[in-house]
Amino acid sequence: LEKIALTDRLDIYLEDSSLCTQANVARLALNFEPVQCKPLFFDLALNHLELPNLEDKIEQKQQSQQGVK
Amino acid sequence: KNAEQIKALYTELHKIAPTQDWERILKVSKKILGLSVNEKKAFHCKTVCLIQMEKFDEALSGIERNHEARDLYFEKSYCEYRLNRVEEAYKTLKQCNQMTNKEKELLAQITYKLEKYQESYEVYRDLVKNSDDEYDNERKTNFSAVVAAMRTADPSVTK
Repeated sequence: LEKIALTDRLDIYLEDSSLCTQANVARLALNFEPVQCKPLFFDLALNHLELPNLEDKIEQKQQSQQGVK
Repeated sequence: KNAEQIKALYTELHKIAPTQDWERILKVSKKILGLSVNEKKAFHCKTVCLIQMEKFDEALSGIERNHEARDLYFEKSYCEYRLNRVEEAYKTLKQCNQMTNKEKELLAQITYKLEKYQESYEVYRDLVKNSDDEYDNERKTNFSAVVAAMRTADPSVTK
């Protein structure tokens, strides 16, 4: 019984002399548990981030300048 | 004189835009804004550069300070999304009343993060059907993630 970690036998009373010297309180390496994986998820919105069309900016300026002339 | 300078800078901007050299594009955009604060397109360019350089905080505070930039919903929402302010990102995007594919793409990602799977599902179904670009596989992957999440949340969902 002393070999079982203390955390796993909390409801069993035992006058454990070993606790004074080398205490087996808890198991250190915990068991692995399966968890759900996070699915792949792509940031596609970033691909839509584009500079505005500047074509008209250049055109407009040219036109207004021609108007001034 | 000013207008001429601005036009020259826009011409330069137009020329260097395809290089995706964001540092350089940002510099020219800032020059235009230095000459005229109300140059909306230059502000838009500046914002895009900041986002591409992952300076989301700076991009966002810029948009918030600029009244002219109120309709940059996509850019604002994207910054909020990347800064993990997903609820705000959702609200911002919802203000946009004419959603094109780019807004929908972002909305689908935001609703997924918010665990609004039903809404995300609807948007993705529409996007998968109506998108025509090279990211079809990635989009379908995202769609599958939504479907998987829906099934985990409610195992009775079959389709």
